[in-house]
Amino acid sequence: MSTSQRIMRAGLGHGGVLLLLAFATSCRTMQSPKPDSAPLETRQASAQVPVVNGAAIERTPAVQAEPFCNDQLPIPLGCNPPWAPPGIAGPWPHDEYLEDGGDRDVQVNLGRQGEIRGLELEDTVAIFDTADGVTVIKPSNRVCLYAPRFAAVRKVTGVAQNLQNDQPIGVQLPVRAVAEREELFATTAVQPVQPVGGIGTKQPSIERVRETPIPFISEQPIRAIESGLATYENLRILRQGVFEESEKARLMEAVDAAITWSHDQAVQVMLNEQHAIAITTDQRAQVTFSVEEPERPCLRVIKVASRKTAQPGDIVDFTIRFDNLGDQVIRHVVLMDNLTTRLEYVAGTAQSSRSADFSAEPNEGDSVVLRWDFVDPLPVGQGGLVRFHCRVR
Amino acid sequence: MVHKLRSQTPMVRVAGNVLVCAVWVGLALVAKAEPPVHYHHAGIMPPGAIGTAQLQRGGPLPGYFQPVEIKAPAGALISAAVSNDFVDQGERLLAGFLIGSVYRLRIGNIPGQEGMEVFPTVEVIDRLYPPPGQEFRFPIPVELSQEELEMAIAGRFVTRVIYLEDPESALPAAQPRDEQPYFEAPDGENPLELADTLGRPMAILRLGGRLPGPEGLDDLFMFGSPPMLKWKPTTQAAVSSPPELPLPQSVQRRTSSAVRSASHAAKLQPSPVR
Repeated sequence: MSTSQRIMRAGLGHGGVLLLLAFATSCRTMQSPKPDSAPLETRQASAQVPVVNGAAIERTPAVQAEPFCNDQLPIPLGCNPPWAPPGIAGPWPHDEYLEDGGDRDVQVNLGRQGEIRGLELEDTVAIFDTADGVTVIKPSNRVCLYAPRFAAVRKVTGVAQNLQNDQPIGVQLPVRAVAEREELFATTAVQPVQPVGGIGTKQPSIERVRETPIPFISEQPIRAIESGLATYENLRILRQGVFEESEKARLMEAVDAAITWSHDQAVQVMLNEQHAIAITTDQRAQVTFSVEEPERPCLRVIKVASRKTAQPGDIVDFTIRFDNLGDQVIRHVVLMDNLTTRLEYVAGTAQSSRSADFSAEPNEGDSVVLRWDFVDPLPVGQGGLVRFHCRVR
Repeated sequence: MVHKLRSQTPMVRVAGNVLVCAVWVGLALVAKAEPPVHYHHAGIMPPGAIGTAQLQRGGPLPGYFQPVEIKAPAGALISAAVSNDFVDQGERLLAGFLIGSVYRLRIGNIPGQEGMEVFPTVEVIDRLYPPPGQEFRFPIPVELSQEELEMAIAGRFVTRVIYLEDPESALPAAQPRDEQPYFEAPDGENPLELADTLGRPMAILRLGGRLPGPEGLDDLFMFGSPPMLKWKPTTQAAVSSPPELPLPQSVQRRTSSAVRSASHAAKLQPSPVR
């Protein structure tokens, strides 16, 4: 079937020249991606994919966007995040925020024996096996908490006390040397000096992930989640895995503001037994087209926090939602969250809506690595929730 | 006519390779042996010098009232400089300080040191960038401990550089809300340089070494009594609105209620502390 026939069959051929041009552009982008263009989903080339126990490893990156700044308002009133020097990605400055989630710096990968490497502080990833034996590593989005903490360096100085013995008057003796004794305050202390942390410029990611539609709303079994859903996580994308445009603002409040929930993750349309994708953004005219998707697995990982700011000692609740948006059952799903130094896991607060083996192991930052090994395979369209509490140090 | 390349003997090629390697190693050594960073500022510089230089580096620092919370021991009395006089504030003072200005304080009623007074200074040298409306919820904490006040009374000079911890190198230990950890700078070390190593210096507290002269509280001693924006925890609206950020004309015109504009304008003015 030709592309024009597909348009007519779908009843979508009334869009005029603009629609055809946009459609042709979109089809070209998907059918023959050029090396210099941003692919909708990045996969490692098969020749470079490391093989672990006969299984290849793939990575799917998280989606990020540039911060927004309104030129009509003075700095920092019109900027979100408030203000940042040119060329520095938000949130800025990094030393005022606690970040958790994503996969920063060294990317998570598997060793020859299947061990997990490159899981640094703040990383949150999900690892699963596809039906054809490929191991996929999917990072979550990044959650930022505004929680500055202060300390001080003290220096105490004072006047040195001098004690000098003068020569007695009237003594007829040879002059002797003047003895001097000096007492100084001891102000020396030994302390370890931490290495300097640098603020780095991260490359903005322009990659977009095109995910296949969910043909039905997943029924989320609530087995181990207690006390229902909190206010910050009572979103449809967390309850049922379905993204709603009306919840975008609240979702942006719960996750990093630098992450864009693009139209690619909101695709939920079926047309004439074919997968169709409806795109509506403010950047382009409304375009509707259909495309035949190749079989591929996909896991979406969303992480939200209960608050955006925190003082030392406050409790922050984290919720991670994962959904199988692919078209095949995935197995051996492992969800890992390596907590940063200033986040302390509250023991016994981990919950999961699906059967999983939970463990909390110490990490190099004197915090813990939370790990859920899900027992059952994750069918297409199904998902789950995990939730835990942390105390800000 | 085609020129042929001259053929090189193996000896010449080896010598050339050795020379190239030597040049690379030399360049690497030169790059590694960079001189250490030279700090123009030191913690013992006179008050105001560091903050003034900080303003010249650019950024949204001039005119910004950075919230600072000054805490004294229980029972002590903090007085702030207003128009070359001291106005009592209580045990705690939460106010917005201009970056680069020096604020003179008077600490009296010190427990165990009744009748003695200490005149510290606070200099804010950097600012925070909190979410809008949260400015006074995350002030820079400046703590006046009993030990340091007694040191100042005993004639010693205490310099405390308050810095913002780098989360990536922060100590993995819980921090009490009302107790600020500090490092003691070794003898001969620059506390500002050490704080810069551990995080981002935000404010400098100086205690001791200075008393009012026979002329009384003059401009020189009070550093001109710079304006401060005192936070009044009366309503929640006062917390949520950033009072130190002036609204542009277009935004002010859109406010419909005259009463609302008047109250907002009153909130924006950095009125003297009362």
